[in-house]
Amino acid sequence: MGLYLRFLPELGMLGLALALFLVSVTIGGESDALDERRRDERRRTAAYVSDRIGLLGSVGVLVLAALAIWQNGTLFFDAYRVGLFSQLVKIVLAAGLVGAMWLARDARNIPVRDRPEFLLFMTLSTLGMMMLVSADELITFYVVLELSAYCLYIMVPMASGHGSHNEASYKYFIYGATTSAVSLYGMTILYGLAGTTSIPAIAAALGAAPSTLALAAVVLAITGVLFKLAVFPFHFWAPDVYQVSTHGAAAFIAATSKVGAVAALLRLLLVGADVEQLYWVLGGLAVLSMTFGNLAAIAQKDLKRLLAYSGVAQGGYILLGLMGQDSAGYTAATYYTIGYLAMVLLCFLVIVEVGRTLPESEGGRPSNVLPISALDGLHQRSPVLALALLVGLLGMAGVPPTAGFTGKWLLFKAAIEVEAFWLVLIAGINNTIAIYYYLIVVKAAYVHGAEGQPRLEPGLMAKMAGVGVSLAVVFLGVFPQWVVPALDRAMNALLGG
Amino acid sequence: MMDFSVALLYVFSGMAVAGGLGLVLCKHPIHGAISLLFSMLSLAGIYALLDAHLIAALQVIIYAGAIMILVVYIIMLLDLGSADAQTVYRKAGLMGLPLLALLLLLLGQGMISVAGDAAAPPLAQGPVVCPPGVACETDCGDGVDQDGDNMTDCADTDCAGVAICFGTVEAVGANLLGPFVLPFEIASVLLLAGIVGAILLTGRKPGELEPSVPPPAIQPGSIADASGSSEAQDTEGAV
Repeated sequence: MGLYLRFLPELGMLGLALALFLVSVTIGGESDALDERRRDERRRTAAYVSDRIGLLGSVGVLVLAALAIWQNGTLFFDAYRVGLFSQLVKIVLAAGLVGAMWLARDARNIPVRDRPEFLLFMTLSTLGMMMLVSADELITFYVVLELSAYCLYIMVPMASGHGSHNEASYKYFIYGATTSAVSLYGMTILYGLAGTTSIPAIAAALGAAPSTLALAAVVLAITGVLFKLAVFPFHFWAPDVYQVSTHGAAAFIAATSKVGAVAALLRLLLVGADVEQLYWVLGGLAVLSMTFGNLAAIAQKDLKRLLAYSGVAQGGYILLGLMGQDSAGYTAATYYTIGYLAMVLLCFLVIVEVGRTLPESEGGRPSNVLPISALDGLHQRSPVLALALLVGLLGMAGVPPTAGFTGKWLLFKAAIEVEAFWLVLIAGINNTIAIYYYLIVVKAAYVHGAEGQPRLEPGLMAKMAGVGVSLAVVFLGVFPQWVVPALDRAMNALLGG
Repeated sequence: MMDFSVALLYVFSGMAVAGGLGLVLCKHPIHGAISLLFSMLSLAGIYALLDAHLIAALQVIIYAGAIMILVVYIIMLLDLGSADAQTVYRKAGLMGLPLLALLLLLLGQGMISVAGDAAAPPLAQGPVVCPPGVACETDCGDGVDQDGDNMTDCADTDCAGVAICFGTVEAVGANLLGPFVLPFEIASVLLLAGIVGAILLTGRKPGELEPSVPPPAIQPGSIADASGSSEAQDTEGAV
């Protein structure tokens, strides 16, 4: 029984994926015998059923992940390591999936007949991320990295409508496939150096004989994950993909998949635990990413593009915590990522709700864009949503008392402890720049009038979610002592082997 | 005097690299595809030299065979030969050169620095040496299950490093369903996602071809629509 418990969250995800798949092929399956009206009816039923299954199922997985939190040990011939770190991240991922599933309900721009598959890909991608966190062996790591990535590539072009959506999906897919090939190349060199695919064994082998080749191999190997995190030289896809995918898919890519990427990076960086030059590589990427992301975000007129560039910058902050490769930095990075997940989901809650009120189409095509001007007068139209947006944006800007402030403080502290004072200074300057563009959005919501804007009627659930997640962001920021010690223990266990 | 198999290894490696370069540098997609085929066949040769005979055979059948045919078909169907998209890549290539140089420098320096270090231990020819106190398959060629774990000879992972077992169907199978069972099983989930995605993005369900059905607006954009491929057939001779 213990063995099953260790694999419980993943089994739950697989079960959920299977259920969605069955809905897609049974209720959603099309038959020539049906006339058009019946077929349409069945499509709607399938969409309705899969929405409910997806939401309830992901809540179920969250419960399973919570049940499995104290599991510890390895599975599958040591290819899969379960510990406090992996189990905590799995809970966060499951929570992120619940949020994304809920945001994706009744999505406007996914054709009704594709809804079961859309949710299926979301589930499978999360399954991939959950397994990434535990993968302790490079082949497993690579296969589940692909699983989590490919599902995302498919979710982007599923959004019908926006004229350039094909360009964005090609860009996403081709950059993704290339970085993944580069990653694989790095992994083969690692295997060549160490003679094994087990991550701890490779770390030991590299530590015993450090070389330039080892550095190059580790850097190549982490490219695939840096791509998922959209860190500076690998960020090209982010703005386009955020902008043209449906709001639900964009929320999933922006929030949940970032958690998976950070956790995977922590896991993969273990191979380079003794490669000292990584400090400079990660630090350099952090600076470039922060500076580029923030400067590019200033010019954006579309809220989703703005969030994409801000995501590039946030990736830079997170790298600050990883560069020292110590447990304090890892704790800070994970804590910040958890807060970031909540803040991004808050912003996307507003995007989804406001997006519903926008005209259905733009030049005959359903529109997935959301100009910042659509937020004008939000505080009059829906005070709750305006508050949620405020908390989300101020959190990302690092204003106390949100989790964003505490997280940045922990990250900067960890970076100073590894003697990266200059980087922290640059990060501070960047943060000031960032406040400017976050405030532009806040200004639209709070200062501009609501004249000529459509009415906004968020449901009770949306209001409750907005208030609940906002409270969580503040709570996490004010009482970090509820989370940080657990993360600390998890990181010590992770780094200890 | 260089060992014959080492000489062959250099020949195959050179061919693989040449094929790769050809793929990148050839202007015409079909020439690129043939270069890729060349590269894949050379890889099969390298696998065979490494005693991985099953993998070498699979490489020829699956990659050089099935996948290459698919690639060539797609090139012909989409009529990529006449595309004018070739000039764009020039600039991108030039921009990538410094990065390529840096990578070559790093890897080259690293490769040279470790080249003399350690050779992989040669495959054991004799009986397997068991760790003290652990039962294992000592003789991999006698058809007897010495350690009583229901896995005989090469099917037992204890024999993985023994010359007569390495690269055989049994050894590959024992590895796939042993140490690598998790990626093996997850690959099936990955393939399922791939299949569903491919059907979703490109496949028209039968209903959609009927005239009574839907406006083009709800169809997700697909790579090749019907008119595109019929056009391609007209010009297929030119490819």
